[in-house]
Amino acid sequence: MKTRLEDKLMAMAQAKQKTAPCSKGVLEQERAISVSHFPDVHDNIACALSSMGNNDFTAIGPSARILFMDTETTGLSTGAGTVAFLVGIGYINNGMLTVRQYFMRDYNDEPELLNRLKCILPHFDILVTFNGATYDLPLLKTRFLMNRMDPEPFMMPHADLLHMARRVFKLRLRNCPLSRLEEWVLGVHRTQDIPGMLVPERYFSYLKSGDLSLLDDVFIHNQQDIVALYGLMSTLIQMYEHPQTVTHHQDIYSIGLALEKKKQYERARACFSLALNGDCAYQSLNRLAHNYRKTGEYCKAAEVFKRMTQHHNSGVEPYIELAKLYEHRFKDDDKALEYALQAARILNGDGLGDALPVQAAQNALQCRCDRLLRRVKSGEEQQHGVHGKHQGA
Amino acid sequence: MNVEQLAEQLKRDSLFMRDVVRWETLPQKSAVYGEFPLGLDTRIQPLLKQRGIHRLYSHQAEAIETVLRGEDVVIVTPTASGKTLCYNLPVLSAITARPDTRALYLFPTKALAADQAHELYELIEGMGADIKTYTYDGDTPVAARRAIRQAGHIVVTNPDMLHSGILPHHTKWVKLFENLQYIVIDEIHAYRGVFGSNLANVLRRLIRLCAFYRSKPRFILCSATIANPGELASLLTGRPVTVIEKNGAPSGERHFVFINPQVINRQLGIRVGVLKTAERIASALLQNNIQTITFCKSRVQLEVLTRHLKDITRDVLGNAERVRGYRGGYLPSERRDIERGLRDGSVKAVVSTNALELGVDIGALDACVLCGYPGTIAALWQQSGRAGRRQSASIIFYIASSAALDQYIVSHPDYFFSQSPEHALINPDNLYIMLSHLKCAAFELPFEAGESFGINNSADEMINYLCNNDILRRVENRFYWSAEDFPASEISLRSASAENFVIIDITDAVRPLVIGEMDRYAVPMLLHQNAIYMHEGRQFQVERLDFDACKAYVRHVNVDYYTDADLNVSLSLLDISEETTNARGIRRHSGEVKVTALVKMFKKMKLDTGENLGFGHITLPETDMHTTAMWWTLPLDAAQPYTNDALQGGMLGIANLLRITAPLFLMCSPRDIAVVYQVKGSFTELPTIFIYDNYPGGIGLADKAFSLGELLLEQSLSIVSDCACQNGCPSCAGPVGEIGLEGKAMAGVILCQMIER
Repeated sequence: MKTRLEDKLMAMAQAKQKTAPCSKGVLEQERAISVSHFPDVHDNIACALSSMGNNDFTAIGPSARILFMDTETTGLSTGAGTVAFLVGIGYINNGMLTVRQYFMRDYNDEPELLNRLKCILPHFDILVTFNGATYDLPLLKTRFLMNRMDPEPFMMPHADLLHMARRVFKLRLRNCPLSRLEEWVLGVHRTQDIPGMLVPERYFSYLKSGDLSLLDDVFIHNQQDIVALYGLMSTLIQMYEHPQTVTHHQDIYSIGLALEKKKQYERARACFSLALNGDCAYQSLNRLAHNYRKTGEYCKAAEVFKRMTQHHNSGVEPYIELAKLYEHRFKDDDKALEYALQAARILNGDGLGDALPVQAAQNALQCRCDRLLRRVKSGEEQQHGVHGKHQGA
Repeated sequence: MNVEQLAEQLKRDSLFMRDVVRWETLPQKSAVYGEFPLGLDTRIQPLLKQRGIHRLYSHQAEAIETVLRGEDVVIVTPTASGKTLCYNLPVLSAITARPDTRALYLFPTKALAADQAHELYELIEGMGADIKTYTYDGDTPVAARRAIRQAGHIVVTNPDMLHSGILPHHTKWVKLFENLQYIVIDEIHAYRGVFGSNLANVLRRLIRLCAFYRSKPRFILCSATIANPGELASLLTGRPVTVIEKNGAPSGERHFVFINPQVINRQLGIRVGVLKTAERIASALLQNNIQTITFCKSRVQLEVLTRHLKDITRDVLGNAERVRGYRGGYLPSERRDIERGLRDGSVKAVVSTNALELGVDIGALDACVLCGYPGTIAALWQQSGRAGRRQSASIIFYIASSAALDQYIVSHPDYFFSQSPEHALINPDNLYIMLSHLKCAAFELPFEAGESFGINNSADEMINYLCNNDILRRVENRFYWSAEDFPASEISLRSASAENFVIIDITDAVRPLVIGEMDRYAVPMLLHQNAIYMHEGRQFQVERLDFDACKAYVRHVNVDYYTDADLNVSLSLLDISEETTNARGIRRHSGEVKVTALVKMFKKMKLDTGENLGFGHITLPETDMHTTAMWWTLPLDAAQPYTNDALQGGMLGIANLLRITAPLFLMCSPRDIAVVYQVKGSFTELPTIFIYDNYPGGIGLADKAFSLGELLLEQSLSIVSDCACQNGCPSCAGPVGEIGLEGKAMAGVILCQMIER
């Protein structure tokens, strides 16, 4: 997979060198790139993207048209003096990814470049970027305003894959730059990639010399980023749709958390169940139990909390949760007291010291124990003889 | 006892009166009212009535009329004359009439901005209007910023934030720029020198962007009393500005008492300490329950005095709480608490640094004690203005220390009472400063060929320079920013050069703390190894200066001396712009020079008295600086009669005197200028005395000194002839040890020879 992509890119770079640079006007070039090595995307992308982030795209309907976008700029700040000299877009056409790049040969090409963007955007329903929410989109909006154009076209629905990827991979990869995701998630290794920080300098050198070949690897870099955007989106969708195919348990667990946040409890539960054998087994049990509790399936919740108590690094939480369940849901004060006392034993004996949260937990627990004890005692006084039966249960 | 009774008692106290060199009583003044301006929104007047304001003072009415006529205006009024209404009323009226209207308020400090925003909230709340006022500065939470950019009617900020946080990101402030109707700048006298020159350029950028968004904002400026408010205002804004200076606010009788403590060492000119005298007066005021503010020059003084006053009032009822200290570094909530206490009268005595000098609202007090000269006459008026009720009498004590400027003021009280002679000077066209801001401007919006930057300043030449350096790129008739940098981050508005040294406090070795920055040019003088560096009233000693890394490591110390580095300066001439010869054959020149400075040693000087306590050596590289200068040359025959030593001592004496008088008349800190004498001038070949701006490119000080003619020489002569010392002291030509036995006399003789009349 890796070599095929690389060959293609190299071939393309050579092909481009042959195109004679014209001296004026926006340079526009288009390539159709095979993306068959990435997972297939089923047709309801809007729905899939909706479960992955904060935005809800479901209103768009099943056949949403997706536009990928990435920019190369003359600096890192989003101030008014930074320009996007190369804007790459991508969309699926006849099973291939069409990548189109708009390039400013000089600063006075900008209005034309923005105009072409403005014309293309309305043909799509969702804009997909990587970190576009904080970088590319504010910058392009600024460019529109600087050219006295209405930035309204950018008000379209937007999915930022950085935020979506961060939800899934942050446990495993900590920070998630695109290059790292490409390598670790998509398995693509770029060999001759230009570091992003060198890009502005290349453009300035090109402006001075007029030698477009200076920007060859910038064009490739931008194109690769767009391919990676597609790859990342389809991979993420695949992972959400078929968590059983995901290799790393941490990722599955994270997907479960994300789904839980979107109140998709059934799907979240499936993820937590899948993650029970890996590094996050205990957390998964914990989420699973809470999940059952939220949907009102208290028996199942209690069952999972009990499984947690058998776990080797079980803490005090499942005991407290069980005490709560037995007190409030099952109305079984004896059992509740039993779990509460057990929790208190752990909390007092685990050597955590007098850290404030521990103290708070201890105090809360003490209240619970006292209350239960009072109730159990008064219950005993009222109905003598039931005592033994309860103990045996 | 009230203020009048206390004043009578003091006048009969011969021991007290022995130190009093002048007791001036300004008569009470009744209010002058003006018509309520018709152009204001009809909802405004009932609101004022509700707040107990039935009529406007004449200056308020006049200011508002002028603003409503569409003129740019600067209001010059003393402390507590109700100047904030002059801008708040037209602004609130405009927003009420058209809710899209926006206004921008600039204050020199964050604290002041917060204070004014607070006052505005109250006013708006009273109106029941939906007018949103926000402070926007480094402390504004990121989450709140978007709302402010979109919806803030009045954005209250400081020049630094405007420069680096708002202008370069103007596309995020479209609403503000498109609808900006008023730009309010308060305390404009604070914008002098480098800071003012920078602000003028920031405003050029602001106006340029407003033109892009097709808005035409008007300026409403406020200033303390200075000699040239109109000039300063129009230099800052680049427009003619209408000056309003007839104050209509009433004031009670005011007593000004000038006190010069007894000399205890005549030889050295040492006097009884300021603090001791201040303590005595402040205690007397406190015991008579007269609400008093005492201004100290350092944190140490402040703490000592506060403790003493607390001690004498301490009792079981908690009366020590009637005495409070107030300075920068206290928590905002604590400061608000003290301010409230002053307004409602529960705090009877406050001891403050200059933190309370600017507009913070504490109401009017009965008495004010000033420990020494705060640096400018404008500040002296502002501080003393803290005492001054509208109806009853108030009293102000000025206590002089042995320092030269203090002594000048106490022996020339008329200088204080006569029309303010201070000029706030700026030079918006300083090439270094202008070029830096031109870069920012180009980043913010491409330049068109032939576009100007400031009044009558074609930007072409500088733009070509930037093109040649590949910072801008010309395409057809437009110049585009073509570099990776974010140019606003390279300028600090409050200092001259881009290359600043960072000052790091290593008192706590585990947690080094950056406490400040300093201009490269000032570093050899002020941050050399073993220098005592003052920061917010605290003393630090420089432990190590890493010149290449631009870092100075300092440690907190408590010593009774300061350091003064000896600068070896050679000057070479770049250009003479003006010269003139008087009847005595003395030539006066102004022009540009290159100053090559080398610091080789420093002196340790005792605080207060200025006694020399010892020397130290400094090894540092030479620095070059291009700046503006003015200089006097003596014809050879005038110097002929004197021995070399006599000439040397006399000229040094004159240089010392000019170091006292020049900052007074140029309204600058003594560090802003340098005075250098050469018995044989570097390029004049004659005995020469130079005054030059201590900032690259100059900020207008030397030019002004040139245009003052012989005033500085005359004032210097009057100091040296009025001083009671025998052969020179730190308050006049300098101590004998420095200028020699003949120095003082020679300085007088040469000055007489130089002055035409």
